Amino acid sequence: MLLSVPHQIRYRLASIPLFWVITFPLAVSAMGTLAGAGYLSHRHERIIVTTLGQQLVDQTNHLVHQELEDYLDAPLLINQLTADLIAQNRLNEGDSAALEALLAQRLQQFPSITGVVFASPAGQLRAVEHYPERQLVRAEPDDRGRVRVYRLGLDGALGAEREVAVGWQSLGIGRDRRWYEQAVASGTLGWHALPWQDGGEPLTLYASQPLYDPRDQTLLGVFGVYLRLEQLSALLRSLDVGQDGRLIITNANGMILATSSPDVAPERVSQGDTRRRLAAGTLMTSPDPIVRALGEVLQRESSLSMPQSAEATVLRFHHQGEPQLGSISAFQDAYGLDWRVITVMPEDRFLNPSIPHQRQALLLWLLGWVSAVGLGVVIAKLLLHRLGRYYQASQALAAGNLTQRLPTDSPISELNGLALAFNQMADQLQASFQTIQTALADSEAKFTTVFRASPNPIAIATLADGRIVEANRSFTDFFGRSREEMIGRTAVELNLWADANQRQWCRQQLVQQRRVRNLETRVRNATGDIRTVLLAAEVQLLGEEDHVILTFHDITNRQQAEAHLRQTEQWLCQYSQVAPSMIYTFVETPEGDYWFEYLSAAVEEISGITVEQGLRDANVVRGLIHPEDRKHYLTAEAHSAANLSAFSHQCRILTPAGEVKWIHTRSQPERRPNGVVAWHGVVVDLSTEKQVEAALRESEARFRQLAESVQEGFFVYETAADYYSYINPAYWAILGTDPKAGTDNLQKWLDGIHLDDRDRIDRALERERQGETFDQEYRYRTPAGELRWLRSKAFPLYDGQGEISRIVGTVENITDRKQAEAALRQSEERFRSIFNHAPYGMSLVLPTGQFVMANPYYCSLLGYSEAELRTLTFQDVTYPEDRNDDWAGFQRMMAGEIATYQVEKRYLSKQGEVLPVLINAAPVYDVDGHPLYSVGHVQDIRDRLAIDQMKDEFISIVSHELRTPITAIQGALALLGSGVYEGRPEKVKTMLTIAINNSDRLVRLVNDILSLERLTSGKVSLDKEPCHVPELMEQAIDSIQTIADRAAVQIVVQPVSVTLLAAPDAIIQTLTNLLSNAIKFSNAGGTVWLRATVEASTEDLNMQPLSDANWAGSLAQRSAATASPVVWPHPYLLFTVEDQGRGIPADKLDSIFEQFQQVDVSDSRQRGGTGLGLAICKQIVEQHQGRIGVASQLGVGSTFYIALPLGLAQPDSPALPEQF
Amino acid sequence: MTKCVLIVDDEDDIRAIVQAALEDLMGWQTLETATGLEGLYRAECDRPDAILLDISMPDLDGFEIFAQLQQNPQTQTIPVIVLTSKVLARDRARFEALAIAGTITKPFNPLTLGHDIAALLQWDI
Repeated sequence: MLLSVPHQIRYRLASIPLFWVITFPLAVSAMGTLAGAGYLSHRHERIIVTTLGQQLVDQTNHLVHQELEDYLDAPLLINQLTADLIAQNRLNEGDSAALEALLAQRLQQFPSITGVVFASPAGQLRAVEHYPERQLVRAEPDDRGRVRVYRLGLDGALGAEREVAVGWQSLGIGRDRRWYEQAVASGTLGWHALPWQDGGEPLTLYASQPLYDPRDQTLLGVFGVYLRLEQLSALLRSLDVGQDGRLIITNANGMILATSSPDVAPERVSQGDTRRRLAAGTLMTSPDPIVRALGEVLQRESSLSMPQSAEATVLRFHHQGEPQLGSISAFQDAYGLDWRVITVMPEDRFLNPSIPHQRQALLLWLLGWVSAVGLGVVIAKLLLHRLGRYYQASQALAAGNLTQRLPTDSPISELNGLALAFNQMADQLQASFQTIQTALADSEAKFTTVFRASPNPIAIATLADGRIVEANRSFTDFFGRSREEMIGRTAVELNLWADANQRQWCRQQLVQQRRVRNLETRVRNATGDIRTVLLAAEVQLLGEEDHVILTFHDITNRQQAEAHLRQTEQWLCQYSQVAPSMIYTFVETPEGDYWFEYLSAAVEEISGITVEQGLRDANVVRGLIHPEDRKHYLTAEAHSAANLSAFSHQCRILTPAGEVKWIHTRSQPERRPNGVVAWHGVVVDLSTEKQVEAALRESEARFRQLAESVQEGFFVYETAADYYSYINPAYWAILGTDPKAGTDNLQKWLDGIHLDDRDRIDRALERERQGETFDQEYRYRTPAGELRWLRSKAFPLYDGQGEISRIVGTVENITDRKQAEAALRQSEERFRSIFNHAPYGMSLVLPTGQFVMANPYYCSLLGYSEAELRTLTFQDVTYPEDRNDDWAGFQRMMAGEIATYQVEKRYLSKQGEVLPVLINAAPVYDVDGHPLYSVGHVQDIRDRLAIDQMKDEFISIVSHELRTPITAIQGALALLGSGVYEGRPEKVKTMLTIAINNSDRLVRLVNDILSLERLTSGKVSLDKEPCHVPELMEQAIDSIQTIADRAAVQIVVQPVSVTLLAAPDAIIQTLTNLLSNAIKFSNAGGTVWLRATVEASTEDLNMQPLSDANWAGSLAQRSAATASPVVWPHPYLLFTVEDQGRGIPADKLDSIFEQFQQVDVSDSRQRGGTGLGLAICKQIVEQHQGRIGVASQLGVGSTFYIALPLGLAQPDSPALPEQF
Repeated sequence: MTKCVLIVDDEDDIRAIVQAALEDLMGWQTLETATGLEGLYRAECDRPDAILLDISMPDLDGFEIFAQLQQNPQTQTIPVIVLTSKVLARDRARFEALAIAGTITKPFNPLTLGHDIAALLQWDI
């Protein structure tokens, strides 16, 4: 693509040194490549490190799970062991010593637990714990509620009583009685988390096991193991997650149970503070900002805070702009524990180690870039050194030094190639220069030869002083001088110019115009003769000085022109001798003598007198003038002589042969100096013209006679005088005017013209005055008031001056024709209207089959325009297989063998569609009985054929549906009647069952057919009454409930309390049919929903969810045809019946509401349907001005919709739901 | 002579009537199938002496089954009698265009069914 670069930029681009052209792109591309590679490497590294970091976080989370499982296994194991001892009667709970020993042993065996406790229903309590120090706790039922605490040695020896309290609660965590109550309430091993104090958060975790007597299942007591949750925090801190990493355990409510956060570690605060801070510890209220940020993320993403498995879920969030990697998982066990384990580590912890590597990569990048640029500079310098030499050699060559050559010893092959090409070019230039010099010398020699040998005089002189520098032989010969005599001298010196003024003018022209062309001038030769020449000169720069190159042509000999003039005069004389008119010169003296000075030969042709006779005696000629005309002739002649005016006179002569001729004499008199008058004139024979005039007069007479007798009016109108010089009788009759009323004029005619036509006639008259022919039809009202249609034609006639002098014209009464035309036009319009608007095709074809006319229906049917059809024959649009038969029938009709031709055949439309049609054709004959056209009447029978096919299919289906049960019934009964099954009751029963089942099927079919027939025929009108919709739904359910129970299908009803104006039995039948279908196609255990809703607003039924439904019936079809949404009048009631059955294939949705259209033909047997149920439903709904439709998804289920207008309700039964 | 007739009809009751008529009255052996595909399978495996074939069936109609029987060298020689409730002239024209042994229209008389079949197939009974 060519780009238009501004001149300034092009100049600057052209001025860029080659060094920069080479090195700059190299530097830029090296920078781009290295930077791109570096960026991609850095990005890839970051992705890998982040992925590894996330895996480490997830593994840490998993490690916490393992540590927790190990940690929490101990309490459960202790409980299980103790329960086993009780169950095996190896431990008596009443044996306090054994119990205390067992408790101490358990504490000794499992140092990770905080304490072990047993409590009986009677109030006995034993607990051994090592927090805050190793001690034994006792409470007896008969000790008035006291609880005694003893120190306990490492060897199990009982020490001094350390504390006595009343009530368990007063002794704090290990002795809180709620753990006992919760364990008894649960009745089995389980976890119970309790706070230190009432209202606090859980900080102690109990694993409690109620113990029962194996014999009578009475409660013996509760054995428990408890853990301080602070130990969990220590456990988390033991897992090294770094200073910025966090391990957190929370319960399901987000309360922190343990954390590795250093600022809430119990070691850093007092015991009281630890309790307080942990008691208030939630993620959102944590003093640790990272934990709070984590809490905010979990609060926003609630799904993340509810993990359902131990699999870690990834957490990504930012804290103070730093990306954090985290994971959250659920820690749950079979004993009711539901905790969350959260692991968080900053992403930079994994990325920071790579920073030194990034710095090294940047350093390497810079090193690579500098190296690439340096290498580019070195290469550019090497190239430029050699190119500089090439540039210097080119400059020398351009200056004309053709011996310049370049060395070809460069290590770069392309540079050597360039040098070789330069050297070859220099060689060629040198050779060309020598060739041109030779050719120039040859050309100069040729020019010199031509110049010298030219037959035309040529000379070259300087423009400045006119000195001749060269002259050819013709030039020197013309002037009669030698070459040596003329070279070096001027024209003035040689006295060549005969006219000094012309020389001056010529010189001025050469200076100003630098050329002179065809200057007629006179020159003088050496002998002094003056000759006339046509001079041409032109200034040319020869050498460094302007020179004049001149040449001339000798035009001295003018005698040729004079001879030509004499010849012309001779020709004129000869013409007068042969001209048909007589040319003469007649002379008359004042004394009355006269004679002919000249007579042309035509005098003999006109008068029969010879030229010699006439010249000898003029009276011989003048005596021929007819006696009746002589006097006038002489008078005119005398007048001409007196006034010397032109003589023009017509008269008759009487020739010697006795013939009378008309002649026309025209002459111009001349009075000569001697007083005589001479007439130079011409005599023309007018006999022929006079005969024509006579014939014209005779013709006029005949014309007048004709004009008087024709029916067409005729007139001659004199424009100047504005009157009709002639009007024939028919004219008066046509205009209804009495000729006796006086001479007509133009205005009277105009006054009779109908006002609607008057402007048009005025414009036509105006054009007539401009010379156009007038031809107009118009309405004219006669003086008697009759309105007639007239046609006037008029033609202007011109006088000698080219002015219109008169107008002749005709008037015709065309009233009858106009009426006939109007009638014909109306008839044609009627025919055309019928032709154009006929609801069937009409065509007119020639006997050859060629189309002449086709109406719009025909054109639309075949897809051709009428113009296209006129280029075709009807065979062209006939289906190929039908052409031969069709053409044979057509020819029989055109031959008169049959009066009309009717055929069913197929057309082939322009779009290739095959169209079945019924043709009725009849021939049209001319007056001689020859066929002119065939008029064809074409009916599109696609609908009829489709109906026939539908009818056949319907009959076939009904036949099948009726014959099948009848066959079974008849067959079974025939077999029974034959007696073949006598003594075989099981076969009898089988046959009877077949007969009964098929009888039921037949009855159902007949009932459905009758119901449908009644509905579709309109013989039965549904009696509508206000119906309470819930009652309709209830009755429908009642009638179908047995079937539903048998199929183990549940029906869910959602009614709406509203009153509907409807035929209750029909609506119940519709709902029952739909429910029955839904149950039939539901699996056992499935559910069918029957709902009713009121749509109180104007709803577009094509909108979701109803837009998914395929609506049956005319409304739906109209909607599909017009592609416009169907707006339902509001409010309306919408019933829906939804099932979870097999669904309906999409291609069946449009047909299931038609008769006998089941999704599967086997449904009629397996499901007991007749194939008419939905058709009946559709009829019932449409008779309620409602609509029925279905939406279905294969394998998921179907939903049938019934929309019924509530506007039909009576005014006293509210249409809206009662709660409205 | 004992004959074996394959009954292909999706109507259970019709098959039961035909089976009773041929077995109990004629003493023939019958095979029965409710689908076209199974009918093709049984025809090739059991090679019955004749096939009574219904036209209106859900999977393959009688015309398609007959065409496939004719294409299979194992079954193309087995005579086929169409057992149908289709009575329109158009249907009859389609039957006549097939190389079937005959047509029996529903409802039929079970007491003469065996004899009708034997007459169509020119069996000596």
